Amino acid sequence: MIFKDNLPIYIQIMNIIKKRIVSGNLKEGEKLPSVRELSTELKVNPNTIQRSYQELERENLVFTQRGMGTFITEDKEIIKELKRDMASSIINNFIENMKSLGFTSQDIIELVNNEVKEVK
Amino acid sequence: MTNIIEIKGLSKSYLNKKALNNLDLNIEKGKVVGILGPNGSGKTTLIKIITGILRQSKGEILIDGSKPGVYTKSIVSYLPDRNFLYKWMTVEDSIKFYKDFYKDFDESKAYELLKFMKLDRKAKVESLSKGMNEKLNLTLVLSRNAKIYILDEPIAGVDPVARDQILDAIIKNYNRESTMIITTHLVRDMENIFDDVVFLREGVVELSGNAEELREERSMQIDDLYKEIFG
Amino acid sequence: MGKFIKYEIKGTYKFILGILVMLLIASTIIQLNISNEIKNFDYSSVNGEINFMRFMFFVSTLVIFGAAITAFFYIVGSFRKELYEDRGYLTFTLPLTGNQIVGTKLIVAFLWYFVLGAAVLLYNILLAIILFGGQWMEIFKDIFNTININTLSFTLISLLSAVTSLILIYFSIALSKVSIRNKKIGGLWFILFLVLSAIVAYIVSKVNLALPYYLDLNTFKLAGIQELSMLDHMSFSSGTGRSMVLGLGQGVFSGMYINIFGTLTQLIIGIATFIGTGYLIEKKIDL
Repeated sequence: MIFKDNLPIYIQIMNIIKKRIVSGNLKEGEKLPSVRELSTELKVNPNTIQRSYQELERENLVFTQRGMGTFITEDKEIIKELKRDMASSIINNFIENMKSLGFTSQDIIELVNNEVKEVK
Repeated sequence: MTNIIEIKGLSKSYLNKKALNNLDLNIEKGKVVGILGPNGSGKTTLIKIITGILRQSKGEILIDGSKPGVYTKSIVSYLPDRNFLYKWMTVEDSIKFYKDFYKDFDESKAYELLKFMKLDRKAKVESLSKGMNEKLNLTLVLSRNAKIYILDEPIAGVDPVARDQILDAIIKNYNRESTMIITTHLVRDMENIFDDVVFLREGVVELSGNAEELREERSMQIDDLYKEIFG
Repeated sequence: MGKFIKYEIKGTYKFILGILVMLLIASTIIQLNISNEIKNFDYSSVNGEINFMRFMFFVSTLVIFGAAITAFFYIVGSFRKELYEDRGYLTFTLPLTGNQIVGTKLIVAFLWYFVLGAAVLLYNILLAIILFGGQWMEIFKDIFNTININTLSFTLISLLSAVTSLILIYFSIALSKVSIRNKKIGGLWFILFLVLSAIVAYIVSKVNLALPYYLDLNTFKLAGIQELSMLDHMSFSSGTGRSMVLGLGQGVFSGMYINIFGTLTQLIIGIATFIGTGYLIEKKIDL
């Protein structure tokens, strides 16, 4: 796997896992692949994967059970909050880009409204 | 953190040029270290000195506390950038050879890896293609439970499928008790497996550090950093 | 080291076996020819028959000499390859000392010479018994009877000088590799070898002349050169570097004398160059 963003790889891996949680690919309480499995899958140093898991644990998104592995949190509130965070970060990013192109808030809402209808 | 390799003021000069120029470098135990640099930067010279097939002109090098010699050769598992096996050998002969000479060689691991690499036991070493040869050599080197692995350009000149297999094998067989030193100029393909990177230019360390910290500080991937330094 | 010897044998046996087969075929042809010639011995042209025998003797010598030279260059080449070819990356990263590597090369070289010599000899004896019948047994018995302390020591001393020469060759190869890196000058080691051999021969002969104390092999008594009083009947001049003297009292073989210090010098030089070669390939190696 080739990581392109200008971010450390452990953060990029955290983001991949977060996306999987938010999209529902990884369910609450579900076991994450072991460090070794994921490191082979992504062809990344196991120490890097370990760090990603540790950081996710610090953010309370996952928890480790000794000898069992690492699991997604069962706390629905935390997952909801993650969803909100990711959504707002994407939206903020988008709004910032649009504004730099000269669109007003009103323009943006209108454009988004139209696009959303078409996609449906 | 303890240093498994300590290098102080290492120089190697030939008649008309200096391959290494007063180089200082410490390598921590348990790390995967990438030594990066273009051809002629001194990578191979450095590795040959560590593996004991070349002597420095000046300076000191300690491997697990010893100067390069019989002991260090018994704890270093070395993948040269060439076909180093004896020409008369079959794949099976080469495995028996390693088993006979290295106490840390794990025969069952070797046969497992051989299967993973899809290599024929009975094949003659001489008849193998470049990619197959690289896979066999890597199988032998990784099947040792060595304290230090040294891989010189492990994926140079092999096709993408073999490249993936080789990367897989390296990652699967890495363990925290051992140290891996890998030289490469194919930074993009390998940078994700490094803990630390060392940039070599004209026989001196231009830059070194933890790969993730460097990505954070410079906000770029190691490959881009490599291009910035040597490009 | 035993293991390294095993692999060294594994890597070289095919070639040596090839030489052996050639030698056996050549011996068979030569002996068959001789036996045919004897059966049809033509007394009317004795000269022609004698010339034929001479020719066969010449051919045998040529075959043996040729085989020895081929085996020699192969054995020397196997050491050279370690220093100049990629296989050195395997050999010199094995947890072995330089002495173990040189020792292995030396042991295997002599093992092959011994195997070649013994096999050819036995085969020829066997063939001769079959082709020529009982009277040849007598000749072999005579040959065996001549084996005594003199011939044995002669063999031993010759062996010592052969071993020293081979070590000197290894030393020359190692030295030429270490001194001129990556420049494969074909004959450099050979020139080095000739020069070093000359120096060794000079030293040994100087020692022989300076300390002329000889061991009489029949009585095991020390003898000074004046006691031997054989300045006029020395067949091996000590000047050749060989520390052995044949006593020929009035043209009759009267015993063999070994120069103690000359032989000792030869031995010490052999050991020193062996250790020197081990040191060069362990500590000064430059692949």
